Amino acid sequence: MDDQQLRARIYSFFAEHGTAPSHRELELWAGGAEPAQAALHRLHEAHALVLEPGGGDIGKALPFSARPTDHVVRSMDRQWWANCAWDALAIPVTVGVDASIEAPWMDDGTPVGLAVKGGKLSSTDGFVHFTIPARHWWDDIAET
Amino acid sequence: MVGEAVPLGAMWPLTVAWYADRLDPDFKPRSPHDYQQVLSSVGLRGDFWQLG
Repeated sequence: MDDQQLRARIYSFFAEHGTAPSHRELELWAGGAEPAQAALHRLHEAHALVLEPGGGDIGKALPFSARPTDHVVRSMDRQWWANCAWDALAIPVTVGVDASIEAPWMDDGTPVGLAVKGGKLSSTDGFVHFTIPARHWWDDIAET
Repeated sequence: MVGEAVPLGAMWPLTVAWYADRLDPDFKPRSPHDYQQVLSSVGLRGDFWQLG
């Protein structure tokens, strides 16, 4: 399995299960622990996914987060964690599903109460706040 | 407030253009020029939105 195929398997896993595949699954797909780690680091360097700092675990495959966050997207019996407000909008688009978005508004912490249905967003009242200029988005993807 | 606030009305078409093909098995990131055009297409121009 080449890096592009592994990337596709990882993304499919996130879409289906809402988190990252386990080391066991990655090793099975890549043909062993060493090839799996080497491939993950190449994909990280290519910005195809984001490894946890100092380790070999997948932290993010944008727009998905492997770990719980304040931005939760639900569709039927599936749910995903998003890395930020933009990614919460992006998950229903990426997966291609109707979904609800559970996240707090940044200014007062109240629930956003947004939904996506039939490819449309339920409301356009509100803003997404970007704190980092676009040229630095990949410098520290966790804060974007 | 530091940064830029983007109306949801612009965020939605931006998100569709940016992310709709992310699960495609053959997905390849587009060029910075192409992503810059996506930002511009929803009115995100100026220094803050320059990718490179």
